[in-house]
Amino acid sequence: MNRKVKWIQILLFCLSYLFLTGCWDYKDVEDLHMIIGQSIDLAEPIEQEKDMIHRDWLQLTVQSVKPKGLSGQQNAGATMQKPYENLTSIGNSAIQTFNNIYSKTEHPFLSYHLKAVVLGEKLVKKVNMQKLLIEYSRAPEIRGSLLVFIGKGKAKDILEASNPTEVPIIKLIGLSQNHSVSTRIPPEMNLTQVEAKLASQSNLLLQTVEAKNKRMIIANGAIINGKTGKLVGFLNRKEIEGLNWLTSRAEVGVVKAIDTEKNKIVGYYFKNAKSKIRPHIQGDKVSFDVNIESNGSLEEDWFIPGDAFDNKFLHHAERLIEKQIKYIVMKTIHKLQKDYHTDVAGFGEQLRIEYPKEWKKMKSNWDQHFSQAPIKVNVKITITDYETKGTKMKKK
Amino acid sequence: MLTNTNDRITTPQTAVAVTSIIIGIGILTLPRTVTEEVGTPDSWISVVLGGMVVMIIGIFMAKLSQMFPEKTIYEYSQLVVGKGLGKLFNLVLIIYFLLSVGLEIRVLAEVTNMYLLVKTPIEVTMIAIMSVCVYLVVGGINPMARLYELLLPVTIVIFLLVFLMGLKIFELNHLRPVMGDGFLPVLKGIQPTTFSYTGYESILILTAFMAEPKKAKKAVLIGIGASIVFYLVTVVMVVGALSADGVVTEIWPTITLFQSFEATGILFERYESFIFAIWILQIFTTFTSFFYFAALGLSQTSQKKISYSIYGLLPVIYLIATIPTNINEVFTLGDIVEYIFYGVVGITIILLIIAHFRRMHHESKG
Amino acid sequence: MTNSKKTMKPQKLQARKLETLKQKPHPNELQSSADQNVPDSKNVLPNNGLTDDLSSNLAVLKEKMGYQSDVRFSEFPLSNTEKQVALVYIDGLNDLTFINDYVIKPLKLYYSEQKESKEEQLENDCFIGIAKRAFLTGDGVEELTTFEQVIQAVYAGFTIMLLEGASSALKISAKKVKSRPLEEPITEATVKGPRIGFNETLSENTALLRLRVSDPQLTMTHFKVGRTNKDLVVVYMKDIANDELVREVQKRIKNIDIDDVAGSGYIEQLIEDDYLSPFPQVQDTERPDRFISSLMEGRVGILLDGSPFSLMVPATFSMFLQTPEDYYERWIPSSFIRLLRFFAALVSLFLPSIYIAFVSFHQGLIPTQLAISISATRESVPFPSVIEALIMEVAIEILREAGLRLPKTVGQTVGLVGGLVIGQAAVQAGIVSPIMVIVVSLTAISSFAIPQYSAGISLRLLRFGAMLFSALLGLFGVILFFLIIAIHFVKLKSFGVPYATPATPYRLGDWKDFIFRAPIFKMNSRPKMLFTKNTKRQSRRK
Repeated sequence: MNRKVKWIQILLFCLSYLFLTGCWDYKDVEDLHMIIGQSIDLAEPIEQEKDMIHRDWLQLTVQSVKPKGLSGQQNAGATMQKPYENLTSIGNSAIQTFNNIYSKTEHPFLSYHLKAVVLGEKLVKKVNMQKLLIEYSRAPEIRGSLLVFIGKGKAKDILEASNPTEVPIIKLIGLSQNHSVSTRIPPEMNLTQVEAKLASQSNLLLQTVEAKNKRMIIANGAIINGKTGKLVGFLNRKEIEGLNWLTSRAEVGVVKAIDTEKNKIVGYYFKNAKSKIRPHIQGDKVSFDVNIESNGSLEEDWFIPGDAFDNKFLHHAERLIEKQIKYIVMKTIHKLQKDYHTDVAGFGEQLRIEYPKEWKKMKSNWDQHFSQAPIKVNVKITITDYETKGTKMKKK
Repeated sequence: MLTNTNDRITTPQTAVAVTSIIIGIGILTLPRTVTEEVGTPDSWISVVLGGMVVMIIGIFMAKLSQMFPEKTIYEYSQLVVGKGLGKLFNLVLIIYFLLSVGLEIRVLAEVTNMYLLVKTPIEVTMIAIMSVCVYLVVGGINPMARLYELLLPVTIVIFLLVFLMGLKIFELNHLRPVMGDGFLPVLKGIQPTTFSYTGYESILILTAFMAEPKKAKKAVLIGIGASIVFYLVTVVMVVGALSADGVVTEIWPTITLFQSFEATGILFERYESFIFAIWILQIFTTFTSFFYFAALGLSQTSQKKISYSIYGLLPVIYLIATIPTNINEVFTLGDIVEYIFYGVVGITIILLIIAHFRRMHHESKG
Repeated sequence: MTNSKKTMKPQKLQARKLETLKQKPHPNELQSSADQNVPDSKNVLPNNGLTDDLSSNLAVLKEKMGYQSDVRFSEFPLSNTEKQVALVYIDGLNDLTFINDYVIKPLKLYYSEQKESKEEQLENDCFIGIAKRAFLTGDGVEELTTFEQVIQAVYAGFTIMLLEGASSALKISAKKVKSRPLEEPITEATVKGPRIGFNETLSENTALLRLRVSDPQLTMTHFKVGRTNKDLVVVYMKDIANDELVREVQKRIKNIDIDDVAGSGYIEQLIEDDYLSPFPQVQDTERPDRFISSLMEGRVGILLDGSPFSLMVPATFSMFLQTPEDYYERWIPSSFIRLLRFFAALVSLFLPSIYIAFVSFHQGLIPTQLAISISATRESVPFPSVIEALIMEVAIEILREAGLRLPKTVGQTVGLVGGLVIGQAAVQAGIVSPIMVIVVSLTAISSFAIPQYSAGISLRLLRFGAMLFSALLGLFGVILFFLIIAIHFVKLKSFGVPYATPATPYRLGDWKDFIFRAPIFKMNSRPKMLFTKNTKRQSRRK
């Protein structure tokens, strides 16, 4: 290569980097307030700005971690430092509120690690969730993996519900994963999933978190209407269980049935569960068949050991459990159809997949159609084994 | 000295170059652009069909170039339609390449400044990447082809690993029903897809550098085929994770996908940095080639040394890249480039027809 | 003539006497006798032929070389004849015992026999003829006729023998070179390989090669480089190595014009392609096994007298991550270790810069838990992460340099004190965060895992560039730096072979010996990148 050209190149490089140097974005991690969670509540308007009544007032609480307090690097003698810090501010938009918080802290915020946002029950009843979340999904530094919760009561309390050595939000995230071991917890939803549901105007179910006596409990599920983005109501633990059966979300768990004749309890520990929702269209009437299949083991003996322990009894047990599951599921369906008129179990989704043309017609008032659709539930349980006899009630 | 094929590139290098040039902005935007048009989860079918359409055009282009061995389109266009018209066509092609380079540098800078360097002035990002680009381009086609060969395996490995991680939030239901609305939406999606495949026109120039120009068709087919797989995986994964409705509202849906999950317990929890890395590498390969093609065109049309046109075009590209004032204008620039591109394709086919009828098979017998 | 020596008995002329002789050159006496036949010795040109007068010849030589303190002239009669003989040599370079036993003694014997039969035979016979008859058994003896030749030969370390009545001189090769035994090379130790390395003596090295490769195709061509006339041998396999490559190597060596090549590193720098590149473009080794295997691949080797490091060209980057060990160990572990080395090379180049990019630019891209713990450990550190990283990296480079030059035992102490004590103290004092120490030590260890010293240095150097880019532009800067390195990498060629081969251009056959090493019986062909004349390494296994 031409030597002159080479030197020009080198010069060009050096010049560009000398003149362009600036380290604009350089900021060491320890100089930043790492935000890990937020909560938004409906707030009373501030006195002097009461004239702006046309907007809802938000109370934003920001939880940031104090790394020193968390990593166990404190000196033994020093007073225990709380591992987190909550800052609260009131404003009528999330950005404004957030900026207000800046007046209360010395370090800039780092929102890349925002892991969870808890929306107050009252707020979501009044305000469209999409409006609340749009600022989260728009900010490039906030990840779609941000988990969204509905807080029963005041959402701010949840950010304070933990013992002093834990960060409440980290605890909350740990709790939210438990749906894989319990059938009574709805699956967690992250921002992207919520956004996708809201964008397609389908209803969704969010985990609900509650602070009872400073203890955090993940319990019910909150039903959000996809069109209005507002909270419709809650499902209790039993109903969540039914819903999980309906949507194949139940992974492992225990079902108990009572043999009313003999007044004995049958415990069934299932290892897998599959449900299939099959829509049927007749004219403009839509109906559904739900087939739930599961196999697992019998966990609780119901007769004295040594009794005739053959397939007959197993089949009897299977019938009992099938009945029980069907009962749970039907109750949930009833609640969804009759009380809430909202489909969160994915009936509409199946209809969209199987009958896309009909779905287009019904899409606009699907919840109405759903409420009136007859739904048949079939449950098929296969008991494959009965664990080791004698080790009763091991898994509870 | 050992390689007597000093300015020649091998057939695999050509195929790799075609793939590297095609893959670019599309990785981040294709799921949105195609789903916007299709409206159903069937966008992946459009991607495959669009790729096939592109393959046919690619074959035509390779065929045209094979008629004129060791000549780039800039040289033979003047042979086919005469000096004046040929030069005009060259000008269109050069403008197309220049606008593409400008657009891509701008998009690169936009994404970088959105996600990686928030406070750094966008000009810095652009000048930095452009100086690296010049360093490569002055070396000519051979180092470029070798660099693409070096980068592509890295890209494939990271791409596959990262997308495997994405399976975590993949839901098959988001891709169903297949063709629920019939075939029409799929057809609508072909047009935006073909634009994402731009880059295969590089075969018009690459053939001239090939050691075995006879294999140009094979190279372009393999090159396009590989990029179909890339884009197919991207669209399937992104639509499968975000759903068709969710994709259309995201400006950079692929990044959104990788921001939507965290794989805790593995060394890295967050995988978008990998996507940024390979995407920057791939978009770099795209615009360096386009830059080289534009400079080559200018030097071959004006009969000046290529280094003059390389350094001369730098400020032009910088200006083009800074013209759009906001992201919407960036996309408008993209639309303009798209229209010029269709013009280029049209003219190429006309060239092919004229050359065919004038029996300009020259010395290439095969 | 020189009467003082007459009394000496030939039988007693032992090596010890020769020693004493050379210390007493008697220049004055010789000078006076020379004056008679050489009218104006100052005007005698050195390329003039030798005369048959010994004393005049000696006078000329003394004129030319007498001022050199280490050039010895010794003159003595041959037994009981009147024949005078003279030796000219450089002190210390010649094996006098050898001269005495194999040259002087036979010559004396010859004359004593001759004296009885034909007295005047010598006058008519040429010197070489006598020498041949008297003592010449093999090579190493040559007849010289001009002064210039004589002077050159003396400086080249030969012993010159002049005889009364002969108009030529004998060049006797009796070089006595102290050479190091062939020891295991320190820089390239192996576990399973042969424990032998080149030493500083060219002839021993070439002999070693001949010993190991008894193939007539092993070709050695000799060159002299520099004013100092260092011997240099270009070695290649005639039926394998590409002719053009051999010619190019020879051309570049011929072009060398320098005072002295002190070591093969000089040659390396004088024949390499791109002097601006941070990468080494010529590979050196002390190991004959490695040298031979690269000859068999079709490379050309260069041996320089006085340097145990042989050179091999063309070099590609992947060579620097290979060791002969890879072939001595079974292919699965070898492949694994190769993979590990590639990974180590990447780590040693990019780890600190990636750390800076993540900690100071993209805190969002690291796992939350990690971000929290980094933040906690860095809280008391007063410096920004770049400065911290620079301090630590520079410190570790200094430590390394300090340890390298010191005696082994002291070096270890320095490493221990520097690494452990200072590192620990710095962390406890809160100047450096523990994570930084981990990053720096990982980087250092990774750079040690690169088997070739010169490649390790270049990566260590580039690491600082990566850190600078990272400090300016974060991850984007790291990617830019990677691109710049990659571009330079693909542009670079070593003797016409792209430096990045076999990574690019794709030659699947060459990938058998790249990141993975295929089983040896599968490696049937020589590297295609070298365009060898003969491509087949072995026939296919049945």
